[in-house]
Amino acid sequence: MRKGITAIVIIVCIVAGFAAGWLFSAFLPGLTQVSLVDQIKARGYIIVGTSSDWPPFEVFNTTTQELEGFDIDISELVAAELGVTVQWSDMDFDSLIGACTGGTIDMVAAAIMVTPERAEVLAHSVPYIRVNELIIVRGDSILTITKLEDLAALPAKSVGCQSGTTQEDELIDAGVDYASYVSALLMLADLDAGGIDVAFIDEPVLGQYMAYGFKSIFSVPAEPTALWCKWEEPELMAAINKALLEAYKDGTIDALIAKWF
Amino acid sequence: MLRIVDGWKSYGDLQVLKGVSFEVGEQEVKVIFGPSGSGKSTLLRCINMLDPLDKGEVHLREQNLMAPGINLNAIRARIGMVFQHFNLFAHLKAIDNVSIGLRQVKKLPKEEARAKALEMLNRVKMAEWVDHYPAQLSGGQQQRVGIARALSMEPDVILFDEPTSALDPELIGEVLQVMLDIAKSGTTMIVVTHEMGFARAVASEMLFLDNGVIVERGTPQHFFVSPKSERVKQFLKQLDILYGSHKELLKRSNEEESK
Amino acid sequence: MVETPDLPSIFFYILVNGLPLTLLLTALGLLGGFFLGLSLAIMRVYGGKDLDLVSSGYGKVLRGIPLLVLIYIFVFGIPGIFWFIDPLMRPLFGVILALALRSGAYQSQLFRGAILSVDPGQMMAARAMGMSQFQAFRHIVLPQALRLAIPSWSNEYAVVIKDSSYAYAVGIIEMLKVAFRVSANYPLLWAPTMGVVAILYFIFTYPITRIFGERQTKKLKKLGMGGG
Repeated sequence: MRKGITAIVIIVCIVAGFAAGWLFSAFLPGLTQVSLVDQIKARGYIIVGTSSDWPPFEVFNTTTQELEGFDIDISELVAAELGVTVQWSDMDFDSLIGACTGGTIDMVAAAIMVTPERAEVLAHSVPYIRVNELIIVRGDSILTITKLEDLAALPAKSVGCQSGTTQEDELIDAGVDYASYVSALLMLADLDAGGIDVAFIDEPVLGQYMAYGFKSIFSVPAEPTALWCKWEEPELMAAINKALLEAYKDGTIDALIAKWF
Repeated sequence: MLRIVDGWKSYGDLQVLKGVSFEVGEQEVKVIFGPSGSGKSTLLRCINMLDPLDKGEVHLREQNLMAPGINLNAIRARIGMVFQHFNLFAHLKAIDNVSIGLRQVKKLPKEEARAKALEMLNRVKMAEWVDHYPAQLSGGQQQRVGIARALSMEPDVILFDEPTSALDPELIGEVLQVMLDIAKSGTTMIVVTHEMGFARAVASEMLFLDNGVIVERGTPQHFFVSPKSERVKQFLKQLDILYGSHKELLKRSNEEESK
Repeated sequence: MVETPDLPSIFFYILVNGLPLTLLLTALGLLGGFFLGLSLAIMRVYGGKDLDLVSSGYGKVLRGIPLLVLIYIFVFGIPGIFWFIDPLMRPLFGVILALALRSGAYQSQLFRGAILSVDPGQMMAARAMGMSQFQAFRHIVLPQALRLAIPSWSNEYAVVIKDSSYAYAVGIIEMLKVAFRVSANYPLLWAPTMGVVAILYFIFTYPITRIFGERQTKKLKKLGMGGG
């Protein structure tokens, strides 16, 4: 009995140690005193987080060995506004928001749509594109729906979406028992293989997967897409917005939309 | 030279040694025998302080080993020990088993330690086997390496803890022969053994230990001719049955003596 | 890579672009875990009751946390932990730290087992010669324990190299991430690409566990170590 208590005390101490380290690191000098924009300018690059499985927004081209896509070009505009270069951090989509709040990355550019839940955690820029979300099925499917709630009548786990996306939130709201995937790629491969019968996905992304021969049976206008950074860094957000608004004004955004979609 | 005075030792509720006292003189060979569980091995571990006495004194050349603050490592280096199960270092060749103490404890340079180790292995007739690992040696050969390891430290006294009782009968002779040789060369030894032939050949005194006390002590002659207590008589009778075949060795040894 | 890559070219693409970081993560994770695990094992065996409790408590906590959670804690959760390192390199160090802390918890168990399986009579013999406990450990117990640990240590290598694939989640371009990148370029080749990356992990796992595991076990038997 006493040994058990001692073990628990030690475990509590270790956890407390982690917590103390956490607090300590939060108050380390040099991290909080200088604004992020100054830090970015001082080091000469901005760290932008993305998730390279989302063409044409962002994909790593294995032929040119470079990231490319709409978000990539947009981020370059922001970097140009700040007078720095972009260093990419290409991670899991689900990790991006945590990475930005934790400070591992300065900005997120990953076709992230604006939702109230996300806006609570991170600040978003002015929207720079708005796309449709599609309900797609295999080419030989005879399924039809008139609203998202119709999907709730399908067998459990026969509807797929990518985890952490707005599609996931909408499926929850519609009361659908869905299957979630870490990437669009996995989801569409599973749709093709018959693991699921329906997928919910951003329209531009589907373009990359034409070869599967999926067809769209329903579309929903998506929330607008924006760039994200920490609420505590209004200077950075101002620079991001300035870059986007100027791109609207001089037609750069239109040119990029024409280039990628 | 080595003196143990009123030694007491217990493990939990079990009282293993109950006031053991004796003295070993220079170049003397003491043989301790007695039934298993009588405290013989414990006594040896208490003497070299691997497992100090609860109460009592151990003196080595008038130095009190129980005194507080004494450097036990230095003391143990002066007391050699040979184990029942050899306890050779499995990852080291025979030569390195012998030289490692010289290198690490006596801080001899490499070449010197090796030369000395070779000399010791030669003395126990293991010169051919220097580059063998313990697992490649027979029990008797391993025990001879164990003896060479103890000898190499040039200790004041060597303790033998039933050195032959884990050996196959046909291997006992070679180990006893080596022990006889080093006893005759004037090494002080305390030997726990039931090899009465060996005792008869070299022991200056034998101690019969039973239940943590020395029941009877005397010369080999005394024990083999006219032991006093019934307990000793009975025990020797059993030994005679078990170890009778070694009368040969005793005879041979006596013949050598008379030459 | 060519426009419609064949499997060998996918194989070499992942090998060239992903393997370096996978091996770096594995090597440093194992190395950190080695020193941590050995220290914890020594604490458990020789450290008395208190250090034993600290060490086994550490093991219980670290073995109870999923590795991905540990990685998130050290990469995103404690942002200032690597304040002295270039910001771009911080996730890499966070992952290495997580791998090392976790592997240390497991390695402490295998080293503890190895230390305990060295015949205690050898320790006694070394002490009886006048070696200090440290000398006896350093020259007698440790060399044997390390050899005894090699077979299970090679298993730990197999675990860590596979666990290193979690690093893809925090933006480290190791083999799995490169495989994801390839399949994002060629969606129809998704399944074969995963097959290729599975083969790659296998190639860098099995032969090594076999060589170090089985051969070493035979060698140890010849030396009569490890209880036969």
